[in-house]
Amino acid sequence: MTDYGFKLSKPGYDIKTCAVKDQVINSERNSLKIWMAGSNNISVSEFTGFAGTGEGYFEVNHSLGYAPFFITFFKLKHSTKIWLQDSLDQSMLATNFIHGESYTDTTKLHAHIYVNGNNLAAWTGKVYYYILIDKAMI
Amino acid sequence: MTDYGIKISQAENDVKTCNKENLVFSSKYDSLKPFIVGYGEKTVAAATAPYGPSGEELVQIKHDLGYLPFFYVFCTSIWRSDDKFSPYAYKSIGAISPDGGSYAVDTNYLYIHLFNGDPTGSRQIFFRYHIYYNELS
Repeated sequence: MTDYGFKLSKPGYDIKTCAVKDQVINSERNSLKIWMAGSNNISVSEFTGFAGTGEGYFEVNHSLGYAPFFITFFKLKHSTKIWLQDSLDQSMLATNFIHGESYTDTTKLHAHIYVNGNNLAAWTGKVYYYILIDKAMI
Repeated sequence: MTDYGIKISQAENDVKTCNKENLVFSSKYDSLKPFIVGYGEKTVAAATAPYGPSGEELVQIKHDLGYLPFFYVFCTSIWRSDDKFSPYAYKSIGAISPDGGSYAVDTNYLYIHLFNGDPTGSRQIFFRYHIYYNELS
């Protein structure tokens, strides 16, 4: 087959000889493309001890038809920091364990905020999400 | 609006008809654009007891983008060798204090919280971070 395609190198690298890691784009290699990005508030219920729920939930349709690669971030109780999914809000560790976690299925991204610790009144968190066009298996 | 832009398909795929999963690039979709990548290590004090609080260190990486950037962080675990990185969060393993990392950003800094759940002594934890131009909004 004739050698054809499209590739661009980073500054300072010779596109004819440089490795794929030093290329900005190469038509022989797929790249991560962002399908959806956004954010949404999440209402978190009051946590009243082990009998309480202390949970909030948000879902968004992605319509890809497969469970895609995603990354989520959460605004939890800390006033300014945004936490990577599964991280604990360190500002609250003395009294409460608060974190956000997510998963995808063929139609939606599901995001949860969980509270576990001492009593905590109802509050509002926020999820920021990136859904990528990558189904891992073709 | 007129349909315009640039698309590049993977080999053996017709760029005019193939699905978006088979496009190497499309100007219709944004992509992750790296801003800063880096790595480091920190010695973290021992946990105070098997069930007690873990030792903790905070690393702050200044990015000064002025907005909340997309990021990702990997760190080593005290329960694996130092060449094994994962986005391992602050978790408990049986009766042992939690270890791993928790990560956050604000408009000026990336915050990397590292934890040592080993009560027998301080441990060295390595980390790698990736900050992108993409905004959380």
